[in-house]
Amino acid sequence: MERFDAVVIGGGAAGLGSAYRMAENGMNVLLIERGENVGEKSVYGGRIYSWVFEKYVKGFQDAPVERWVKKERLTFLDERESVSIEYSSDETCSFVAILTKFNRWLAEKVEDAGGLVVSGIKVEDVRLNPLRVVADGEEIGCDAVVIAEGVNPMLAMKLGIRSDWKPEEVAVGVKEVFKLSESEVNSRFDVESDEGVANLFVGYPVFTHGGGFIYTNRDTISVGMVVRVDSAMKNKIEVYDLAEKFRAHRDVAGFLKGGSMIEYSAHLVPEAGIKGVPDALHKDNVMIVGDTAGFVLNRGFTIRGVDFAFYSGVLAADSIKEAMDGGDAGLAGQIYERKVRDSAIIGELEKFRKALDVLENTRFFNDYTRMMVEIMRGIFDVKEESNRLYDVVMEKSRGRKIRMALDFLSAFRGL
Amino acid sequence: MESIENRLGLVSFTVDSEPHIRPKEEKCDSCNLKVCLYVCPAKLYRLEEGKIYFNHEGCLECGTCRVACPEDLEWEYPKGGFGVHYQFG
Amino acid sequence: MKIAVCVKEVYNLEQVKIIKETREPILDVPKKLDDLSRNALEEAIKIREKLGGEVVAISAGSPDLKKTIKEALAMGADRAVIVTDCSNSTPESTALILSKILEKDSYDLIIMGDASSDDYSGQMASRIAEILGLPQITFVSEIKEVSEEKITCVRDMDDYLEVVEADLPCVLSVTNEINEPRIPALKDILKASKKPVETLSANDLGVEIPQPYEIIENLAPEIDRRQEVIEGDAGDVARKLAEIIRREA
Repeated sequence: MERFDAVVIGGGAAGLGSAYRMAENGMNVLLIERGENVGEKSVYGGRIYSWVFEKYVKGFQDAPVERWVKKERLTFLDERESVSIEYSSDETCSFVAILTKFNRWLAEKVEDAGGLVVSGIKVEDVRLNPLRVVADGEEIGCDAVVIAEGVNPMLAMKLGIRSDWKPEEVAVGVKEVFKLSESEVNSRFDVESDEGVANLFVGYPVFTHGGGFIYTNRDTISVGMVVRVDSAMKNKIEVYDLAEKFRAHRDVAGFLKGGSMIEYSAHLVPEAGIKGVPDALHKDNVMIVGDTAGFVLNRGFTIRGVDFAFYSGVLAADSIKEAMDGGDAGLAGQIYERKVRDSAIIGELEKFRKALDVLENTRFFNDYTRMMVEIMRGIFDVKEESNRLYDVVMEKSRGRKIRMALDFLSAFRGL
Repeated sequence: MESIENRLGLVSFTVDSEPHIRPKEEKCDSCNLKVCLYVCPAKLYRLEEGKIYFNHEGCLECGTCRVACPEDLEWEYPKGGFGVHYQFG
Repeated sequence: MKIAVCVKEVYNLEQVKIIKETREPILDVPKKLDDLSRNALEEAIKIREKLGGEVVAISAGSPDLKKTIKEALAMGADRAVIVTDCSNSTPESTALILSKILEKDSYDLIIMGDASSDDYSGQMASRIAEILGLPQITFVSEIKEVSEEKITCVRDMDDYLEVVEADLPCVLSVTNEINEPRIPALKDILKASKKPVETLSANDLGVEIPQPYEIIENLAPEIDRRQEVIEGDAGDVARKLAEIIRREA
């Protein structure tokens, strides 16, 4: 039986983070990825917060960054109109990347650091006492296992570490990628070549839990929609045509005109925040990280997943090292549990616990989105006569001022 | 609007002869919600004469059907090396 | 028996996307070992299993070879020699480079695919045999007999089969009919990670790569692909289908 210090299951951001950290620490680590090539099963919207890579990855400046986000735009859409808020800055804390390519680059870093990455192999089982991983009819022994299998927690469920997601705890995302030229992307979004835009959309076409997105890659554009699975079920939303409906809106279509669609993809996103994190993140020396553990934070205008995924992988790696150095490798699971609970991951998820209630409120996705558009229409509609802002707001909010005040207060506090 | 068939044509797959997802036929027959018909982003579930037909070719491996299905279908990832090969994930 | 297998990395062509409007390919896809290289390797491994000895995978290509060559090692090559700075090489230069490596050791057999699935120039076996002054057997679809001294092969000439015998050392190029290449299991992949890989540059071998031609355009052929979903009962569908076939014929 082959033996490793640790086996990492899954070559996404979380698994790669874990394997990279262990390899850097001189540990004998094996990462097993089910895709024929690393990165080919990873899908997300498009943006990564860079702090964790700047902190932990040597040579991060060579990462395949498409563009650094210099413009944040939040757009409220009704059927025909839109209102956008834009924040533009020279400072940046995030970048747009193609996750497939980014993960492939991370896998190279793992191998350069001395870790072993094997792809095209699916792990069938993890067995305890003694700890081993079963794949391809082979058993591989190890001191610790990091499960980074992504949002569908098939192995974690089998081991009883976590239960499956309920429809209200996850959203399904669909994405289309359009090829343009680099200069077209620059001019359409009014940015320089290394600068990018992250644009999130609320309202049309779902008007419920979820929203649209556009991210600017170097010479392609990622555009898509996310909708919570329970809302899709309840409202009978045809998810397969969701991205198409969204991009048909006049304020989305303009960015894509003349572009050629080159890929369509879909993925689940954990949406339950702290409530989606199971009570225990380990069983013996098997730890769960990334999406498997539910480490995604949605605040409506920002969504964090990849940075938490990588970071949780790092924490698992450090826990295994600490346990081994202390002479009892079997303590890694417990150390990991403590490290994560003390980390910014749980800290942030806890901090935004109330955001879950705000985002549960469909009035933000429907009534208030429409109202925002109507108010703007009211004040910009100048004919012979025009409207006072006060009158427009009073009219549009008639009969729901108290409701609104409470909702906005909750949003102000929660987000 | 680009049809879902055309969009799936943009995606590269290695298809296994064995399906990795199996709806339970007798349960589908009596299921009156049939959410699979619209939540699957690849539109792989079809209704013909009251029966659910599922085609695993073209599966984007998102897991939505498993989470949404009130009748608990059998769901596994495809075998290693099989399934979808995204390039712009 | 010491066997060299010349293998080639190619783009995973199944994953290459074509931009519909411009017909340009997007070549940002993973590379893999060419299918015919696998056939060549499989045959070499079979001979080693029978006669003992060593199988060495040899390749010239891009820096990605460091990764792709692992597929050859996982399949069963004992070690590898790779040259990673010749992604833009011509068949002429590649043959020179491979020959320089082959000269360093005394191989009994040199096996490769008939041609690669990307360029399909099919020149390597003949060029290498010529440079090294060795006999060559091309289009090999079966090895009938092999000993330390001699080899007997079947050549697939499309219209007829030819049985050819040659003394070793000798160069073979094989077709895809020769075998079904094995798919490495996890334990083979793990073993492969410990096998030695020697990495060289064209410069180390004293070969300069000239650029006698340049690629002006690389576009996919124009294909008018349409999709029509025919609905209705079986009779309707058949009638409509027949109509379409008649119309388009």
